[in-house]
Amino acid sequence: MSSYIFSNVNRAIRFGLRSGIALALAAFYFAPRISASTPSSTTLNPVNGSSASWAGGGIAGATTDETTCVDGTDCDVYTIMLTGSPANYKGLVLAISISHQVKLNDYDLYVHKGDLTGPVIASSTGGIPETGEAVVIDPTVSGTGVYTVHVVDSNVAPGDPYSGVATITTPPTDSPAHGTAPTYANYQSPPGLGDSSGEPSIGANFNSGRIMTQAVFDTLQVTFNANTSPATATWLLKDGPNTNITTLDPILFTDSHTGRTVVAQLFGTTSLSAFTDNDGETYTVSQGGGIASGVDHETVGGGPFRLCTADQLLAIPVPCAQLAARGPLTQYPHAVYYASQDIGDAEMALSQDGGLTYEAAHPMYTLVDCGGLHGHIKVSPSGIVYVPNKSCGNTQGLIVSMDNGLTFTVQPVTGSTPNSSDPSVGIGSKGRIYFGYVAGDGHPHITVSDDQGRSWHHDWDVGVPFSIRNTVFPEVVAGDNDRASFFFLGTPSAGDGTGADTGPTPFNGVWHGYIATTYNGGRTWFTVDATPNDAVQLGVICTQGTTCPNGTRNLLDFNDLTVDQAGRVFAAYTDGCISAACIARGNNATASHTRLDNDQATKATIIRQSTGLGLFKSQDATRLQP
Amino acid sequence: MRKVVLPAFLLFSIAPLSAARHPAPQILGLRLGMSYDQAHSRLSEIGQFKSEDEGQQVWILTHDQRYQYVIIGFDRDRQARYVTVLARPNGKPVSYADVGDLAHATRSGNPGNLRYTWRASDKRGRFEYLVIAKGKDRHYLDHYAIKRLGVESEREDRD
Repeated sequence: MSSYIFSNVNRAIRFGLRSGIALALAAFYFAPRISASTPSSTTLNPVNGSSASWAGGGIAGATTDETTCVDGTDCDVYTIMLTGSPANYKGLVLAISISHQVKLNDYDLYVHKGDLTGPVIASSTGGIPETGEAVVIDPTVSGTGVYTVHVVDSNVAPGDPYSGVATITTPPTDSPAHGTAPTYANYQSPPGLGDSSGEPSIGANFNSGRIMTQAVFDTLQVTFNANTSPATATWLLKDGPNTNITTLDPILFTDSHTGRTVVAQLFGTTSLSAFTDNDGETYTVSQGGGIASGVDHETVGGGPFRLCTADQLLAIPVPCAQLAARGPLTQYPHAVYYASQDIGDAEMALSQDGGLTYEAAHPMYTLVDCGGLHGHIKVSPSGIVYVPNKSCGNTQGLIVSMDNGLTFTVQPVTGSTPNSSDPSVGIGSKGRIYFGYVAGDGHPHITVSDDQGRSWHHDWDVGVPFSIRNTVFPEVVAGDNDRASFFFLGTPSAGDGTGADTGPTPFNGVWHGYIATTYNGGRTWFTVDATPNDAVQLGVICTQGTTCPNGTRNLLDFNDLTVDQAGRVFAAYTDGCISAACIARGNNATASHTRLDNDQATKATIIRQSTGLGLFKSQDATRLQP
Repeated sequence: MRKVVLPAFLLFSIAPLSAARHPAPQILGLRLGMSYDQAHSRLSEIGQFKSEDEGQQVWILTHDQRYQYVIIGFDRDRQARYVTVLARPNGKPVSYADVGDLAHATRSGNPGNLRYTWRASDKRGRFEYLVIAKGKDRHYLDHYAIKRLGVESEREDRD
């Protein structure tokens, strides 16, 4: 609705004071305001049973995430002061919960350390039909002093106020993931299709139910026939008119909600690109990108424009209008972004017409801030743009734009260490960020942020169940805010599994594809070997670009992961070990597993989730069938 | 003799005041096509090494009042492929027109995100190159770069 409100904004304002948009919106978001809760604050002591309760203000409204609410209108604030020192809380926790009556309403709970400008250290964002949200905070870790409870109307009708309780109590018993882990099946592309398929991209069209994937030259449409079990796959070649001419950094992006797929290939100082609204039956050739000085390591992404809510429009009309000026210019409702490394920096260009044309690109960061190469663009449901980077100083980093690609902030991913594989982000339905990365020690990690990358928590080594010591190509997708999947290639073999392999003894290792899944916001993860009994690669997977020796970089630089409208997860990867002999060697623990034993193949393959819960709770009643 | 010296003196005096029609393929003495060793020799004179990523180096300029950083990338033959300088915050401003004749540049973007691009040929090195000056301000640049065309980086990520 917001996009229509702003559709008539005078174009002239788009060039005025643009760099101030994000600042103004941020200032508004973080500005202290009068609380609507009653009472508005409490003080709790380090005593088991110390407790306080409050009543919400009876507010109602709808928001996309915490950043789009207006305090006193569709969110409110309650402040808790914890006395004493952190050590006083040994064996105790701060438990905060809210509850309401109507199952069709949805409140979300965020807790900031300090005021609203402080980090979100805990959040609970379950959806309908839950009637409560709860978090537990350990003051020995988070400290004492002020905590700000922010209760946000995700979707609340009038007449259903919430009530809140904060208690000092003993900690609950935390347990590993319980329940049933998902299972997966592999679908290899038929002979003659996808035979040269390094660094694949994949997307799901929610409207048609089809999967689109691209690697090197081939753009493939894949239809799964679920009338049989296990499902069968039909692969069709659907190349764009200008994207099978040359192949430098092939990229495919599907906007699942609109059904538009953009395909692109680097070409000289620009990019060849086209888009399709019917899964490759017909294409429209586009401008290609907004960077004209010689791009490298391109990526395309998209999603909703960031626009003010109606409440924000009333509260801060000028910055909202400036933001709206970067909204849609055609009937196509979503933003498309093109980004690439340039010379000394990395840039991003916005398309306001669905990828047909792009503005002149804006700098995201320079090499002073981060390494030039970056991961792929993801856009949150509220229109925040994210680009992950494997090296920003001493950590990995997340580049964030809250004004449709006009200005950018580099957020360090605290607790991470740089590596040579591009990281990946998945974004939950209410904005939670899942950042999957390969740590400096080669282990697969994923960490979570509830405040647009300003702080991070729940950093897990999800390779522990399989003793993974070398990892490449982390890829993440999220569905509901609490649900996400993380795909990576890993091997338990130690040593330099991602180097040039020029030493006297070749790296010996068997690589499989693993998918880790969370259903509780990243607190626990199921990790599953999704390619059991069929190695993806034997020996090294070199991640040093074109300096890699022949036979070590057949998989190129990344894989991809997506989710369909049923919440089913799909991964695209390049299979380097496809012959019966290679597969047998991979299954023989005493055989040699070096690059000399590998096929060096580049075969397009898709992993399809067979069973288990998907990433959308609303679809849980319809159980996934193989 | 005097007749020759005076016009020559005037010519060299005036030349730096008027921007070149096509800017030269060098910044701060760092010339496109320069060898890795030559570039490092010059870089060591004007700055301190800060970091390296994927064959691209960041140096901190120690004495330049206009620019704070220089970033340099090399091609597979270890010759300078591009040179970028970043303006020093609150330093001596450099206008787009200081880089080259704006009449011969392609302008793109708008105030807030302005970019001038020159495309030129270097007869000495027999290569084509781009010169790009860009910035948020309508008069002064944030970022000034030169880049050889048709060469790939030392660790180009092309596939």
